[in-house]
Amino acid sequence: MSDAHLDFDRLRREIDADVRARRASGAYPPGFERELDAVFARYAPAAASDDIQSVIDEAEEAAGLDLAIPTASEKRGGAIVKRLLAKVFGWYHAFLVQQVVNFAGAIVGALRVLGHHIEELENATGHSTRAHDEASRLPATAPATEWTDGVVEALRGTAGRVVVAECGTGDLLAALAGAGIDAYGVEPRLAAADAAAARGLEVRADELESHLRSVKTDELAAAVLVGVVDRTAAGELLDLIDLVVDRLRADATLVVLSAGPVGLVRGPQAVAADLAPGRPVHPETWTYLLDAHGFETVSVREHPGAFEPVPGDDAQAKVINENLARLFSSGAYLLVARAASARPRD
Amino acid sequence: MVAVHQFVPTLAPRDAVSGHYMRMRTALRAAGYASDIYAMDARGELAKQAKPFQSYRGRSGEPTWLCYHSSIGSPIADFVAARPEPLIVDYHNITPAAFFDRWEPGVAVYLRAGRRQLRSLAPRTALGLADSAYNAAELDQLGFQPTGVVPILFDRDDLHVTIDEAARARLAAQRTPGSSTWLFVGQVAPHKAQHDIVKALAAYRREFDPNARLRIVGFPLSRSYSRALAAYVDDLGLTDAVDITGSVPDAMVGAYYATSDVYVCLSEHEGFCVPLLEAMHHGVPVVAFAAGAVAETLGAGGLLLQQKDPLTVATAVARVMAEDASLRAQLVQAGHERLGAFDLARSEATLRAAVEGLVGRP
Repeated sequence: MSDAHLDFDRLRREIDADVRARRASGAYPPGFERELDAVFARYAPAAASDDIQSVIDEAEEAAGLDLAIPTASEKRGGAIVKRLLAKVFGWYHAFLVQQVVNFAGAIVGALRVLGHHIEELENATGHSTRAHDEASRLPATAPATEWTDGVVEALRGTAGRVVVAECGTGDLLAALAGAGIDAYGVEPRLAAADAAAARGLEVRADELESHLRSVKTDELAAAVLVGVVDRTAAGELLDLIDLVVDRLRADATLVVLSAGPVGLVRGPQAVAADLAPGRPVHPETWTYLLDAHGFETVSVREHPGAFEPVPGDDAQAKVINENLARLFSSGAYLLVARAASARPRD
Repeated sequence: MVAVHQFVPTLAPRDAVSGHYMRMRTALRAAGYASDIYAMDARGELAKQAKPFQSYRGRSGEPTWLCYHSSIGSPIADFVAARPEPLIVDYHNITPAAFFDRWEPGVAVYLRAGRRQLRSLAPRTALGLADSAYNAAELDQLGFQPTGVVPILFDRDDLHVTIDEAARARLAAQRTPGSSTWLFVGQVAPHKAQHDIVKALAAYRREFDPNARLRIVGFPLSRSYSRALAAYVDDLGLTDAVDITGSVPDAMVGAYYATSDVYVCLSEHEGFCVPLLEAMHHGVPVVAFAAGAVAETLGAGGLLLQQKDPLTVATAVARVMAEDASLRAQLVQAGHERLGAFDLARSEATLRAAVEGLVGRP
């Protein structure tokens, strides 16, 4: 049997290693595959896009049934027979077509009203495509450098693939790679992804959700979530957590680097926050949500903020410093959670 | 005489499932059962092989079983549901309608109807057959009991048709020496994801072989998807590198296999995937994405990928096309060995055992 000679698992590992080396070399542009997707999207029907009006226009076009009865035929005498039938039944055909078109027209009209209301709702809740496009033009904001050591320490010794999303221009990714961690990045902003790739880092120019859908269940040893989790609305965040957790192994680590509910509006991502449908959640919320997925929060470190503490360790100094921390803390935090051995799986 | 009659939506030439119906009839008749095919639509050279399903009246006094083949919504499902005879359902998979919602909403309607009909048949079905364990699992989920797997009746002898030599020569002449020619055979439809093969080819040409070519052979099941695919190929500047042939005669399909270097399948959904077996038969190494029943059908007969991003597929094909050709030779050999699992006599015996176990000996 040739099966004995063909070690498919090894072959796939070798292919995977080739792919990663090629991506990390920077010679294969991270935006190449996204560009291929974008070109195909141009030719997909409107129904494949998010443009409600285009979809409704397409439905209306389809609703315009042909009044003319086809009479062409490849068979001898076929056309004559068809023309005769068309003459006899033409009035009935027209009667039916008119009723069907009236019905379809009424449905399309109702859909137009519905579409209009949905667009208004999207604009009101910040889910509009326009706001998303504006936000996507903002430059990537690197996580505070003081978090880097904490993330590296949390993941040191991790065996297996680690995804960092969003990786920006790759500062955190480079630190992880430098520590021998098998990390790669996902970054939706092409300029940032290109910059990361130019540093010799493996990066995919993609949205986190889209990327995770191409990843197998249990494939990742860890995930570091930055940026994207701060802009995602609550319902979408729950879906994203489901997806991330599904892709993580049974012994995985999940790291969340968040600007925090207060920090985002004060910090460098304020513009992104204003254009986003969602807001960062508290670390307690992450702990609560991850607990349901069998993850235990190992540590939460809040950013100390930029203030000069009052010297002394007496009770008065302690109270003052606590209040200063509340006042001047950036609100950002680093949360590390690890999967419990018996976490529930669907 | 015990009768087992088949009821099928469509009987058409160059259709793998139609071949299964025909071979099933032959096998049932050879086993001593009376067996006819009743269809809603019988086409081409098979037009006279089936009777109109409305003409079925049943026979009194002789045990008769109906075997309904399910692959899409059809009035035949309602017809057999209303008949008094005991029922066997042979499930060939109904493509999830979501694949067609965007492209062919009308087809999606029939696909959803097919699933509804299938579910409604479960309580009155005595045996659910499926051509893969993947399909059988869907039957189980729908409440069919008992269920069994009878592989699609695939006859290698049918592939020994005389290859169109003129086509072979022409296709061979189109090849660029030293460059690879990829092949995909199957209906052009969204769930077959031919656009992903085009993407992979683009990555392959960029990274490994700027002269590589792709042939997409098959009936354009979805016109809108086919149009988009052609426009996509043009926009990527691959018009000279990608040949979208449409439906071609069997002898020409053989010529395509005979002049291609690698068979690439990146389908999102397959209930069985006969072209994998055809590629193995023709000695074309297979690189396929693990979706639906592909892993089950391919077995160890080809290189199965868990991911299908363009670079992974391109790199996999590059390995197959490596200069020393050893992997290629191993894959071809593995394909030939895998075909043994789908030996017609063995599959017919499985079918006979399943039918006899339920219906009794003829």
